[in-house]
Amino acid sequence: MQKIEIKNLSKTYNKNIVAVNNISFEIDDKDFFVLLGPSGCGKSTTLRLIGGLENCTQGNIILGDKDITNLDPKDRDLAFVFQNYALYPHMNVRKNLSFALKLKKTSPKIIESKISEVSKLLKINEVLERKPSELSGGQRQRVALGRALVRNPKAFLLDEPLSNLDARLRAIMRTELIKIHKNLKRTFIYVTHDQVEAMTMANKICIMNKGVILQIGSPKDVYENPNCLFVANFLANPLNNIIKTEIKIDNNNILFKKINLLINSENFNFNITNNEIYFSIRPEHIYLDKRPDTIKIDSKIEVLENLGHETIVCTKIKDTNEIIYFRDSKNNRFKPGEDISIYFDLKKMLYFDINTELRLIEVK
Amino acid sequence: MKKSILKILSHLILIIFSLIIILPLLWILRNSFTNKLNAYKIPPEFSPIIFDNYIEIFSKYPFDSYFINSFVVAFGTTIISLPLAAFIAYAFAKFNTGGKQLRLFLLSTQMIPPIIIVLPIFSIYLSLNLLNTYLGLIIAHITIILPFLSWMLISFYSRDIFMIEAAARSDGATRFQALYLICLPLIAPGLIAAGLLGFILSWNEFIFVLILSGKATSTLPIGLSTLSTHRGVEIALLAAATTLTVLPALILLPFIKKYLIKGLSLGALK
Amino acid sequence: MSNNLDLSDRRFGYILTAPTVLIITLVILFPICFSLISSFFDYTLINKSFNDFIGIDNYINSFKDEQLFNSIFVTIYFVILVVLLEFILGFFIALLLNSITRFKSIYYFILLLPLLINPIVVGLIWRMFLHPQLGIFNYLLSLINIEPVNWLGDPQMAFITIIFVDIWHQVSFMIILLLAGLSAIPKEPYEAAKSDGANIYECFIHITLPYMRPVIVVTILIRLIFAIKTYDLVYIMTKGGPGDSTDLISYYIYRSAFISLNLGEAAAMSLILLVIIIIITIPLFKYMNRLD
Repeated sequence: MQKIEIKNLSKTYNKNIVAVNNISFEIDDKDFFVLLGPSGCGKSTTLRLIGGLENCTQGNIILGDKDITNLDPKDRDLAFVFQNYALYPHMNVRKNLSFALKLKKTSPKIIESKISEVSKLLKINEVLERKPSELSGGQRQRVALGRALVRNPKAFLLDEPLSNLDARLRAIMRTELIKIHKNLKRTFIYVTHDQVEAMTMANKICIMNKGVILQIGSPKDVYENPNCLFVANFLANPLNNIIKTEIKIDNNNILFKKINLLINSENFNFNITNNEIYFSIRPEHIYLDKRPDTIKIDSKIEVLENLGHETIVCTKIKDTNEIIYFRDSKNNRFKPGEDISIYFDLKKMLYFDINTELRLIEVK
Repeated sequence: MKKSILKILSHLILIIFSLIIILPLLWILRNSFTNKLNAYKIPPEFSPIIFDNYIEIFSKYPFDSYFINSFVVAFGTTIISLPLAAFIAYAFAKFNTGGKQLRLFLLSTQMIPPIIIVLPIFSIYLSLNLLNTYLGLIIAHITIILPFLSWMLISFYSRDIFMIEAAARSDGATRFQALYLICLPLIAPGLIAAGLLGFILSWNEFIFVLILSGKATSTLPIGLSTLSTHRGVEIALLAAATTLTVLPALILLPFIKKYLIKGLSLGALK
Repeated sequence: MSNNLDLSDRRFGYILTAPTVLIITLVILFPICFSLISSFFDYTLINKSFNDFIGIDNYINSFKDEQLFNSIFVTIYFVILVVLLEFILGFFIALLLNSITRFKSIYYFILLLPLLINPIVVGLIWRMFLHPQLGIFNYLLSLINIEPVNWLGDPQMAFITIIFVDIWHQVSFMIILLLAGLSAIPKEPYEAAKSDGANIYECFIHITLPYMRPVIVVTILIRLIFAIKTYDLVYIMTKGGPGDSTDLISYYIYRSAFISLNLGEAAAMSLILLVIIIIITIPLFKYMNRLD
């Protein structure tokens, strides 16, 4: 019902610094829409433009069937949650929560019931009389969230709301946010640079870099089918194996020179304009045993990173200097210096153009 | 070893320096509590503490009205200047309204010797019947205090404050509501310090009141200077009057200490 | 593409700025314009009308006025000496204060005191001290066998006395600003220099001074401009005398207006002073501009 449409939005600072460059996308009602990207990619600016905290240089923002591009933030009915919470330091928690409602001249009774409802939900009902300076980081975060919740807005705009929390609290808050989103049935637009947050919470991820949108899709979609090298590289935990290599095609075989990998051209149906490409293979798509559609590579183990539940194995491909990472679900199986054979999953290898860095499309 | 000697030497110099500053003030304080003859006595003699001088400056001289006049003018000036300064400083910090030029224009008014402005104001007041009125003095003092406060307050509006203001805006506050419900309470320490400093500046101002005030509106500095010329030098009386004139500033000093640098350097230094 | 929000941003800025700009323009620029006009008329306290246009006679008279030139020279001497001495003493004290930690806040508090006392009070206090017969200063000197000095009665001595009292009153201004600058210098360069074998003097020349340059320039320029305004001290202590030895320009203009009653000529002199001030202010602003 309340679709948000962004049309050709641009934001330029000081006439020459382009923060957001002509982006367009749509957010469906009740989406958990995550804007993901490295710092300075324009994701926060995009959110602030939607919220009306900054004025766009060009383009339109449409909420439902209403053009809100030039609307004052107070008339947009969107609630903002800020990275450093931006609580009103001179007001106690209760007043922080009721501020927006009081401005709207809501009756005290309704304000009171709203506050008690939201504060119970967020478990801050014990600290209502405290000032923000007397709260822990986690509590402040909850108050910031509560301030948005009491308003019952058309959509929530969250600007890296969890990034100031420690890892444990962040994990807890992630789950709670997912629950809240389910219960409220409202649109969430969520900005983060943390791919774990994006993958776990979003039903749609929009990846941005340098002020432009690279890809929009479901978490599964953008993870498995990145449309460009940047997305393949950015959405990876802890990292993706990306190798720039010269290739040599002869008859039925294709040779990836850098790592001396020879594969059958049945597995490589691409039109190549250049004899150099990038290819990527995720650590989880490298196996220790032979499976269908895999190819064996010999390597030597360099470093083992024991994470407890699994081990990240860093290995050097034989006769090259290329380092490849893969996951091993068992611990203490190997020793550094040991020679092992690993198997690349041919179906999971992705190829990118050397110049455009766009994904190469398979020719059927 | 060498280091500690250096330290002791530093403290020694600083103590002497501090004494040079504070002894004259203490001497005046002492004289204000002596009887008239003892105040003149050289070499000084021990004298019991009496309050006669303080009583006399109020009974024989109109120091009560000087006091009231000083207070009315300083208070009026500050009350009018402070909100205006808070507004313009906000506009400077947030929108850079008028750009650097406007800010420097405001600053440049601080560079003008008051004598240049006070003479034409005298002529203008004469025809507007504003001489010897509170209003006239307050308007004149605003020319000094308002630009000063505006400059001082700019740096109090930090990025953090504008971030919190943004939260209020998205919470549904109008521009003006966000300004007075969020920003102004958040810079309250700055407003208080600036207000007190403005008050002291106006309290101490001399040349404008000398030329623009009359009997009914004379402030303390004028009172002091007339007292000093009336009958030669009445040291004890003068000491009492001086003490009273300086007192408010000294009482307020601890509250503005932290912000004095910002004010004195016209915001040029942090 | 013009944008409504940008427009209302700007409008809000103007609304907040307007009252102050209006008041300042009205109460500062308007009087200055009034001065400009009256400087072309025979405009005196007795004849307050714009009937007798006399062109630039007031300016010609000002430039012929030896007393004006005397007061300009007195002012220049005064300003240079005061700023120089206050800077040297102030920098020295600021360095000492910056090097210690104990009792720092007590010293700091004491040296703030003079800044909050108005010049009239300062002048009065020192006039009492320096009274040739009744002042305690000459008594203290007599204790170490120094003859009584006529501090304010002798032209040269009076000039020196005024400078001394101004230093007593204003040196704290220098100290506070320079100390603020000193305490903002990071510690690392000193540690690096010390480990390279630099002594205190070399540290001062190669680290302190370069770091302090902008602060020093701004402090001196601001103090310079404020020193030109000095008026109250002379009014209460010497009335420009003895003779015209302490006849600072602000005081001389005041005298011309209210003792010779010639407002038109005083206006002309005011504007000459204004031009001098502007010439000095421009480099300050240029420098402050660069600092931003």
